[in-house]
Amino acid sequence: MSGAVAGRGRLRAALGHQLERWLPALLRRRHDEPLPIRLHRRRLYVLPTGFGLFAALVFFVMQLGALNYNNNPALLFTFMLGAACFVSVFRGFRNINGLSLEALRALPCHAGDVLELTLHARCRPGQGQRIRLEHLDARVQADADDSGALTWTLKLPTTRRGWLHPGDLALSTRWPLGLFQIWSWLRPDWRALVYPAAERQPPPLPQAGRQAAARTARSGDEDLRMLRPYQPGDGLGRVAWKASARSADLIVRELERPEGQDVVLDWHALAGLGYEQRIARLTAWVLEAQRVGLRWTLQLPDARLGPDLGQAHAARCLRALALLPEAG
Amino acid sequence: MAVISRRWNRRRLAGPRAAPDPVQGGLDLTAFSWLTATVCAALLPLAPQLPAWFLSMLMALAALRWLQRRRRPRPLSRWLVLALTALMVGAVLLAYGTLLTRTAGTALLGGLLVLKLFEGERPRDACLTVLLAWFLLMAALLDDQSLLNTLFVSVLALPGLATLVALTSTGAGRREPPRQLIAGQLGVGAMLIVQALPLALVGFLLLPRLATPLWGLPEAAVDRTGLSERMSPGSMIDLLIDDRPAMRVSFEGEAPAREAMYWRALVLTEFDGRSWTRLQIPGQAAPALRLPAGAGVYRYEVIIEPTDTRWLPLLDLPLTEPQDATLDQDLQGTAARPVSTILRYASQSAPQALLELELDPLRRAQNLRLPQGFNPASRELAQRWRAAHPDDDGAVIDTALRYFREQPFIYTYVPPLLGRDSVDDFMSSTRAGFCEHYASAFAFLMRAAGIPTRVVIGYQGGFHNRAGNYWLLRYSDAHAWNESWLPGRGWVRVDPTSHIAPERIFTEGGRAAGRSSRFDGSSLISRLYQQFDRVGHLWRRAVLEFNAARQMELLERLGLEQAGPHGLVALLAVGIVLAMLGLGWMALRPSSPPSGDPLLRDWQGLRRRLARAGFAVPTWMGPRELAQRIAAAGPHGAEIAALCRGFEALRYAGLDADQQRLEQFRRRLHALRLSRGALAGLAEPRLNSHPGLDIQPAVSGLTLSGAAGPLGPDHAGLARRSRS
Repeated sequence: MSGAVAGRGRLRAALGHQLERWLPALLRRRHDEPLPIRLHRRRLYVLPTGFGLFAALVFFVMQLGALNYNNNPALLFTFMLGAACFVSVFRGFRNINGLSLEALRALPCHAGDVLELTLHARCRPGQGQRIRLEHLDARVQADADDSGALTWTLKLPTTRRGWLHPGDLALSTRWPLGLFQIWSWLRPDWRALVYPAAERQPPPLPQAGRQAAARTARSGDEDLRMLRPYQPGDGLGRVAWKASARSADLIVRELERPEGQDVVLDWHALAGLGYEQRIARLTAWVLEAQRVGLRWTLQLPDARLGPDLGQAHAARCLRALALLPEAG
Repeated sequence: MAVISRRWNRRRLAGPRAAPDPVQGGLDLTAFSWLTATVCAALLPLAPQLPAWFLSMLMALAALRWLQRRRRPRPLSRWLVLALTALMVGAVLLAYGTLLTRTAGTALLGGLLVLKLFEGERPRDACLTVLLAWFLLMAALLDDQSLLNTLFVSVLALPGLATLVALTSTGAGRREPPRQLIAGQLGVGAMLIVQALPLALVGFLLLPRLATPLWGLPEAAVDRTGLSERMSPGSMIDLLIDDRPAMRVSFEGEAPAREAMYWRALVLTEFDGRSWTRLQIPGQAAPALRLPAGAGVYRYEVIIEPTDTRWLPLLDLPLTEPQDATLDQDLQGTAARPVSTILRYASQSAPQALLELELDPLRRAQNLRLPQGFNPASRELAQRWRAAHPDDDGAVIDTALRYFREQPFIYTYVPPLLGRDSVDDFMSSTRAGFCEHYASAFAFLMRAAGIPTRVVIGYQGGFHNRAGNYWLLRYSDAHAWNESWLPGRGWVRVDPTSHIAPERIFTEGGRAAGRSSRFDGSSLISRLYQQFDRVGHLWRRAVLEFNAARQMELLERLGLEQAGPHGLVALLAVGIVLAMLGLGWMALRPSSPPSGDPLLRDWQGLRRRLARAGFAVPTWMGPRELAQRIAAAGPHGAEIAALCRGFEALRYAGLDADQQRLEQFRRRLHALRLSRGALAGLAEPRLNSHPGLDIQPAVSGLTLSGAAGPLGPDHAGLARRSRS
């Protein structure tokens, strides 16, 4: 009995596999595809839309009328319109054929935020009008610009930290007449990293950090040698506003502190909290430490990051936190 | 409330910044303008049918709505639309007094189409409006099938296609100027039509036609001319100049000779001095025909165009009645119902059969009766002939025919009018007329001479379509002839017209000889008219008359005689597949190489020209370096350097948005004339000698990216220095 069930399952899998080979991308894909994904005729599918079917019915009635009255001009007219509508499917096909999805891009975000996913595609020049991207319930349209580049922006709500795989996307078009839909399912081999959500109102940074923060607050009369021009990634907390006001550029304080003043954000020190709460607190602390420009070390159950400072370090830490295994 | 919450839901699902779905969002102004154009275009062909004020009202409403919508793109209140609907119905009632006739229905449909503009804010409504407009356009073709009207209506279908294109293009996309956008949308529609033509032609040629209609024809779809039950001088002229087909006949086996082909429809016996009419006595059963030995019997099938009368023309003399029809005593075929649709019937006839060998006294009297006090001169003439041959009816007939032949009688479609004594006038003074004049005069003369004679009207001759092997009879083939009763021979056909104008009977196309048209002259207008008529005739022959028979003829020409309707369907499928293969190839063919940036192409072009002139610009050399290097070289150096600096400014200073400067740059570029080898003297440029130390990093970084290797560190230092 169970053997028969297993056999049926195998059969279905084999059938699905065959189907996937013969008719790629007809339905949702099973496998991730490496970018760029080029849409070609073997993976583009065409069906009339509801309006297309209705138009066909109207043309049928018109033609029947013309035939009935043996009216050749009316028949010719109906044929001309009907054929023009039918030919639109080829125009539409050419519109999307050869389009290739080249890149996906997302700015880092924290769980609970909206992930802004940008998709870049390129199509043949002159084509690529009204290409619709569907993802879950979201639909976004884009037109190719003169060089054939298309860009869609999707807003994905995130709930969990870790890798976010956008899953199945559909690219489709109804251009030019809206009578046919031409589509292909894509499953790009690409994922976005979602950082853990930060705790809303975290307790202040551990001891050493507080001292350091106090020291930064005091250091209004620091030596000018410790200033340097602003570089992207410097926290706002480190901008020397007074010095900046005297200069054309933003000036940032270069903080020199002995090793012993480092903050250690220790996983094990938060034993009283739940698993995800610890992650949330550590995330909040990493952000805070980066904001005020501290040097910090992140101690995780099986890794130690730092001591270091700056945006790159923060990104490393957040990534490690995001990719911590699930609890239990 | 429900609407609002649904819309809110959708927006939430689609994400905050999702573009409106074309099927759900509103219409943009371009789409709405196209829709208004579509509606107005659909109303135009109705102009001859609708009262002018009604049509103007519809157009004005459409224009008002467009103006209102342009100012404030919001739906109108439901009450306003309702009020307008009531107004529309009222207007139609005012114009026609009813809603139920066909013209009133058309007017109402046009009104509703305009109201659709007021109601529809959604693309879905717009799509339906386009389909409705197309339907109206097709209906306009039912009324007028002329070439001009067909072309006109085809052009009027274009705004509908453009509307659909505009609808699927709705939303933020390319920012194009409106004029270009509109032209683009119309262009897509027109291109679709052009690409559709082969497919449309295949479908048109190969779609099997209906032999009989599925439902009745609309009233007044075609204005019917046909044989009438009354024949008075000149009454048949409308028929004789009408070149539309009346019926088509295919013979099973042998066909009779053309001159023997008389298609009998009506037998007119009563004469009131002016008009011949049918006998009012109800018809009796058909008399038995006697077939002489060796008489040929012809079997045939007739496809008759609708006439709205019941007469079925049958070949002289019919032996059997067609299905659902009767033959009466005079061998007139009468259908059970008026022929309101194309009808097919079969029968068989024997031209040599003998009809009514015994003529009973009543019928004899009926066929000799003449009104008193008419045509005394003709009466006297007939009695003179009778006196010459007291016992020989045949000789009297011959005398009469010889009279027609030997006196100067003319065959013409435009005879002089006849007075009260029409036969007298015709016989002595005018002596000009066509078949009905001769038939009428001959019958009068024979009756006056005591020979039972009657008038038969129907069709004569026809055009033999050799390829299709059928005979086409037009209304202009209508003819009137006589039958005289001779003892021992029964009713004998006599055709006096054939003695006046034999070509009328014996040759195809001979009819034109007798017709003098207003436009027969050779003036420019006449010639133009004739050309126009010729095109119209071609249209008529190629398109209007294309039917099942012509379709079969086409198959034959393709060598598929045996195909039949099934073969036609198969051929249709093959044709569609072929057309689709062609279109598919067009859709999948590789497109032309990417056009790229036009400015960059100009730059590459300049480099190629310099190379031809003898100076190969290395890939690492940017415009500024090139300018410095070439400025002093020869007579063109300064100009080329200026071009290089112009390119640099356009490309890197963001000036390429300035159309005027771009144009100026192009003009200078095209004006530059470089002969081959003009720059050959310049030394081969070398990398280490490039004078780029004062180059702005923004420029050199872009142009030198191809040669990053050796320049990399140097440029990094440059960047530092320029910062400080």
